[in-house]
Amino acid sequence: MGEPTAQEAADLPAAIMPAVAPVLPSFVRVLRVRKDTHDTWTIWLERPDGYPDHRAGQFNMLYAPGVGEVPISIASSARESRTRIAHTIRRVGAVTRRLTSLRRGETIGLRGPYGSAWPVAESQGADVVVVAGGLGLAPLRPAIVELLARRKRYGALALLYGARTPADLLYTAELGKWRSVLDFQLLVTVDRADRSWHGHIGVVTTLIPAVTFDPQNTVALVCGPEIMMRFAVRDLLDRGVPARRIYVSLERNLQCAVGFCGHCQLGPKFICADGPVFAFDEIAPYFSVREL
Amino acid sequence: MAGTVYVLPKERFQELLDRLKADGYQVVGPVLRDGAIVYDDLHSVDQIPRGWVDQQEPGRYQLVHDRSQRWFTFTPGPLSLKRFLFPPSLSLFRVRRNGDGVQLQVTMPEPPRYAFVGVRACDLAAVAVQDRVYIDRQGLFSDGYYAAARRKALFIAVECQSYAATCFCSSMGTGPEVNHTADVVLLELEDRFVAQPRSERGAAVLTPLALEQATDEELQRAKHYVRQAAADMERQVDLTDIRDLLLRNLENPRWDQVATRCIACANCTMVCPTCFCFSFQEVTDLTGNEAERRRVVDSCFNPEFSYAFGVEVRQSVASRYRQWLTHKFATWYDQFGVSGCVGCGRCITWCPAGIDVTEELSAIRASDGSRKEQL
Amino acid sequence: MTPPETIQDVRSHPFFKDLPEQVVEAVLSLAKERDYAEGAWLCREGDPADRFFLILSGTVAVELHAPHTGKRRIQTLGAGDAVGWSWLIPPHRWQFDVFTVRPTRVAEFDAQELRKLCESDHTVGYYVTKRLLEVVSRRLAAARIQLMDMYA
Repeated sequence: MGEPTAQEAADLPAAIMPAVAPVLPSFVRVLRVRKDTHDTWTIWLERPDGYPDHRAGQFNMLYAPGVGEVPISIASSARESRTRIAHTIRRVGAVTRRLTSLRRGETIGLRGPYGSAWPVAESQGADVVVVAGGLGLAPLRPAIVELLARRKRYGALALLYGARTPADLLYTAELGKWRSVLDFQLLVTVDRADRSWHGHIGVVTTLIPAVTFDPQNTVALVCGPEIMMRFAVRDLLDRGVPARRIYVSLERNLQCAVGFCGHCQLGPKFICADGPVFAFDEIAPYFSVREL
Repeated sequence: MAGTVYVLPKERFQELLDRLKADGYQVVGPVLRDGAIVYDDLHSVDQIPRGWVDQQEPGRYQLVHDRSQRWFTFTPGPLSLKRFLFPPSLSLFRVRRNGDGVQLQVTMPEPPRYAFVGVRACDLAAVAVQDRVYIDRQGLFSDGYYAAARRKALFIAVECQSYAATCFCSSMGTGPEVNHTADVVLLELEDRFVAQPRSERGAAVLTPLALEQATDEELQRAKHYVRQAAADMERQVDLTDIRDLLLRNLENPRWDQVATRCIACANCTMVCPTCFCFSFQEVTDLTGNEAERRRVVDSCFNPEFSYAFGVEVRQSVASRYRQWLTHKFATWYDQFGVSGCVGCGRCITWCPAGIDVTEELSAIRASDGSRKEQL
Repeated sequence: MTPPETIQDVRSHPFFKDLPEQVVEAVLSLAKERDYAEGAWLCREGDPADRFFLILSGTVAVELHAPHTGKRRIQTLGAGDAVGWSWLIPPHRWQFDVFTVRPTRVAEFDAQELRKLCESDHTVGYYVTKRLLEVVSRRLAAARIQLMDMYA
């Protein structure tokens, strides 16, 4: 690849204009708001004009004018609706405080979809093990919806979901529905609970030995706190799942969402553009390096 | 185009500047300001810091006047072309609340039509790197402001015939000969410049001046000084296997050692002609009804630059220095196919602690494979 | 006498995975299959640790009681898990409460017999101890992750 000369650069297509297009939000209405837990809400937004069908695992940038912009993973599948998009948002900072205070009918900025996706279609014929921790269930939800919509095309399907306490569990109504799906192993665990909780207690990784799958022919989708992902990946590797078939979704602060502002770099990767979903073997050399 | 080489007598240099102005360019070139040579508006040849020589060393920059008749005996000062092509603070758009809805107005200004005069090989190599960062990324973002400014800009380069003690462009393969980007390359002789057009646009600038052709002797003599400078430049970086060397030394104790000197002031990233990291800034008016979104320069040396799950990722200065150096010399290759360093030496001169990247790289190479044993 | 199909169940328990055949046989010879109804104690804190369990199906909970927090459920265990290591280590006293939260089938071992086997045949003792150490190590790692309160 040669260096571009001034002339070549001068002849670049006009497609690069309008200049600010990549960072311009569309303004859309809030269609529905649901409180999921004491600190987490799901909001449904109308889909902007020209917005393409997103893929499971991608994210949008949500912009609250005067406050700021944050990346939020998309919690709905394009299969479910082509007119609205769900985002599950935890209230942790100024922007998410604003986003979780929105009411139906209010307007908010949105740009996207961005990033890589879970290999849902690519995993046909394989067993799929989904490991979710906390809010990590949100970006995995559209993948689960899509896996279940075409249940017959997959081998064993399992969802292992861990949360802090029973009150922190997301999508409880839907978990109930999934529980009754035949041929779908759903295991839910919490870190702590009182006696009214009859389910599992313990970290989500301890559930991995409890599910049935053929490691060599398994695709694993993992999303949650970094520690949980580290241990989940280790346990999956121990079970014999190949590193290239273990997918993780990483989190870093990111601002431009198009591989440019530099904030979300992990080694050579821009998490926003090369990720957020990575096959583990792509990032293995960097994943556990401290402060990288 | 290649082949025809002209002579531009020094007394006609002003004509060139006037020509550019008449063609609608905003002419930018080296001028003396606040004790340093910087790029700024250049209207007159008298502004060129003729006969000034910069003495640059780790953490030190000083100008002295020499008695030679040479015009471009100095090497690049703290400013690169970055501040023109990728301004440190740029308005993007404004949003005004309007009942239940909002009104959005794009505020990004149209970039000027710059003619950069007297720019050097390292800065032009940096522009070539920036092209890859800002424009040439298949399917990814292209920075509209940069692309527009770049498309309009004209580059009239001067090849360096001297070097500062901090320069190491020759070992980076980026200078002092100009291989990138230029529309016209000038080579200085006693009373004249040899002018080589490198693009149609460059030729179009020279043609109206009706210059005489240079002789091969003139060209060779001017080139000789440049080659001599290249050969004499002492500071070097050994690029052998550099990417893998750095990436297998992420736990090298050297990072902790350099961190005892580094004060994480971010100067190196500010003066670096290729550092591109930025942040968005949300500026609100007092009523809260109107917000402006700006793009402002940022640095990986700022602790809040990178965080995950609400916690800063790179809490130690060692990890931030490592991020900077490994980005420049290792992961830049993965991302953009070239080194992120052009050997201009600015980060060495303008580091208040006098930290020298070339020394740090040598130290890593010398201690290849060692791992820190203490927390 | 334990029926052969049950022995097969116990033999395929992960606790025996990759252990030498003679060790598996020796330990299996002491196994007794047993069913517990929901709400039955397997271990009570402070009691003599007189048994060792391999869970074949069902769920048990590990609890600790403290005056200020009441009963704190630390962990649940299920099929494929081993319960109890206090039986091996003096003073042979349970450190936690463990009881079934669902009907649970276990392979149960008498601690005294198992200890005797381990003492008399150090090969068996070594493999059993090493395997139990793996269980302890994994459980400790999980407890440490839990301690991080990673979802906070």
